[in-house]
Amino acid sequence: MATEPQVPPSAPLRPPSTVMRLSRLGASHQTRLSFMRALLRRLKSEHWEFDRPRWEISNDGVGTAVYRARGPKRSYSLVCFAHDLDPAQRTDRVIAEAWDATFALYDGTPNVSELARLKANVPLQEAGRFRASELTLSRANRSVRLFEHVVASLAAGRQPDAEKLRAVGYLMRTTAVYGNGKFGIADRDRIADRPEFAGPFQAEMLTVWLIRAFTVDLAEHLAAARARATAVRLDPAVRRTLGVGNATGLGLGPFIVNHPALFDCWISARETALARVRAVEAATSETAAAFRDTLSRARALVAGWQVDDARQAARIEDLDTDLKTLSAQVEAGALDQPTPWDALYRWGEDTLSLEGQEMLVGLLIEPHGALVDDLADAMAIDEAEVFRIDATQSVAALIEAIEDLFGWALTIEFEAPAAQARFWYVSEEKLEPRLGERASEPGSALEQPLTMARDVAELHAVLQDQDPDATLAEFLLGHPHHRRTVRRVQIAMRHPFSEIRDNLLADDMVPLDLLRCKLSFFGATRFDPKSDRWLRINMYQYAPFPDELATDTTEDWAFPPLRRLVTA
Amino acid sequence: MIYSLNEIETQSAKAARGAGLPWGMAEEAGKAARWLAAHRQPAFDAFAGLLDLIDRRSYGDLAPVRENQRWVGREGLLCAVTAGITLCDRAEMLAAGERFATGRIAFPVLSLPFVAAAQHATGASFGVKWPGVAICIDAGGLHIAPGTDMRAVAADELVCEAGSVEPNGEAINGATNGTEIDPALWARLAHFAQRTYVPASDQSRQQGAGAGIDDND
Repeated sequence: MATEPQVPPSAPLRPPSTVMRLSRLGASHQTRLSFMRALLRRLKSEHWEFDRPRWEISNDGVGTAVYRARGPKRSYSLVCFAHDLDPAQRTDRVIAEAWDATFALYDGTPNVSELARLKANVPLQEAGRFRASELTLSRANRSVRLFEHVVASLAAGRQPDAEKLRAVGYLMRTTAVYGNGKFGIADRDRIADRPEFAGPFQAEMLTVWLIRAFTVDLAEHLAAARARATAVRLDPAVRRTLGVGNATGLGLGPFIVNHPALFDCWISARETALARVRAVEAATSETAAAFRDTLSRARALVAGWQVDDARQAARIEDLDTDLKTLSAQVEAGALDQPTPWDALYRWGEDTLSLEGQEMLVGLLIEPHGALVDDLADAMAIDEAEVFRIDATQSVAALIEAIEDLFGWALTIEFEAPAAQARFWYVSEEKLEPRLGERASEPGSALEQPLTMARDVAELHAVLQDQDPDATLAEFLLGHPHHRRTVRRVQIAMRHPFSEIRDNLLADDMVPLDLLRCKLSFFGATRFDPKSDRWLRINMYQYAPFPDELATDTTEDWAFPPLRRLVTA
Repeated sequence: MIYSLNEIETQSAKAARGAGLPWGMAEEAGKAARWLAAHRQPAFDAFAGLLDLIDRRSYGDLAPVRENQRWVGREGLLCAVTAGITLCDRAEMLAAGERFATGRIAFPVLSLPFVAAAQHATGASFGVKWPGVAICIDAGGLHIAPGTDMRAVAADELVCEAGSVEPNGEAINGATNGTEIDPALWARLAHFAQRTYVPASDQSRQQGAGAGIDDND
């Protein structure tokens, strides 16, 4: 007899007042619910197969390659164009116009005429034009520090220098991965009902994972072309230490602000996972052993996380200390008591830095896949369903909701220059989000609406003069400027983790925190800030490659394997 | 050229903002343009025409006001987007039997996405009529009688009422991919969208994106 799946018991969720502060969001780390992790779990459990039906790359690294992923119902092809880029043209900025390699993820297997069409457009990226058969569009540049070193080493018959590999961690860096209808490619609506792409950014994550395979194949190909007699391939263990780099700027930041209900799904899933783990009454010997193992590997991960940025370097140092303290706490018997995971979390809240607390969240969730992995399927939402304003609501009910959910914004003195020091705008030159200084730069009249804190305070003030029994239909007829804010308040009533509880205009707001939060949900690691508004990251470092996935047993691949690193 | 639904929505929302609508309404206008494109209703020229009409006028001039059981424009011509938004805000009342009638209204076809949103929210079947046109929107989709011409630049009256039009003809449902749009029409929207962008200055080039460190490694 079939039984309904049981929803596991859950402790109370951490409150939004704790979770949704920007500083804590900006200390997020990947978890097993992150989008890269969820993708590889699905590809493995559904027995996807991978091949490389086309490899037409010249000895100097120019040409076309196709990587194919074949699932139970459909197949997808990463079409890669390798270019001969003048080093002077190589820049990670989104404003670049040429790259070392360009990519499109194609729906199915492209025939010769489709390949010709893609070849005429994909290398142009934003300047090209695409069809709904393309699901993503991306490009990457070689790491100047590492790519040539790896090619030269392999050509000479030896593995690359371990210290150089550790310092960079990738052969190529993507500088954009476009999805959802950009430049004519497929709308998300077109693929959202396919199980493999129902979760957020799954087509983008598949793209990056296949790009990673291409970067290694390209380096090995060039090494063999240079010295066929002596060239060797990368040792598989060394290869796994290579991810795909990414350079990310402000363009990513507004997304989690502009998609409040979706953002709520991401945070809710992670928080629900944590709450389920905290409700576990006793640690089994297996989960306790797995937790200890992952903790020691997390320490190795943090030890290898080195950055130039002074703020982040200090935070990593604290995190290193945190993990040492956490290990001592575990060795002192923390897992032997009742509800050990809850006790450990609460101990962490009192003891660890924000970086440490949020990494602890990921570590607590990690050994509990059977308990939490279903939540990865709850991280997407049809935003059209939450878009309409319920205009039957009364003014009094809206005031109550604002005071309940946005009390934090009502206490901000927006008259003080520091509270509105910044403004978000879209640059005419590059059509990209930017951050300006209100006092010294023109353009604040064209401010983008990343202004919820100020807007909700204004709305609250205006509502005081209204008839409390009036409906919002009546109120909004005369106050259309508040429609966006009303919509967001109503979304927040149903989606408690939809709003960041900080003022995104304040002089001390750190834009990197927005980027870091989104990237951690992707599954990125090794956040490497290059200013307060752009950073480099690593994606899929230590993950299995397509040719390894079927037989791979490292479901927790995001934490480096200790032994393998030692022998590498 | 074929534009994706997402491109159509974002370009339309930006253009509506550029023409002067508040952010929330501009987003609603973007969703409306997307709905019309997904339902393959050639209304992009109507949308561009409406933007010309409302360009830089204050909302007070565009807002529907109630006069003798009808919604009318303060200056005699009602904007179909602000009227549609008002209609959608009253969805529950319409589903319960309230009649939504307007005075003279520009580009009445642009009201349809808002009727569809009201339908989706309440489950009711709605009829929409203007001279020469009778359309039903129900749970099955959009029903347009064969030969219907919805390209009127303005109509003297538009009436929306639950159950007032029988579903006639095949139900049209939203497609999940984009549609052909005349590049000249696209350029008219781009002209409005352009107004939402901030021109670059030396300071913004230097600081706005946080560059300044060599990013080539």
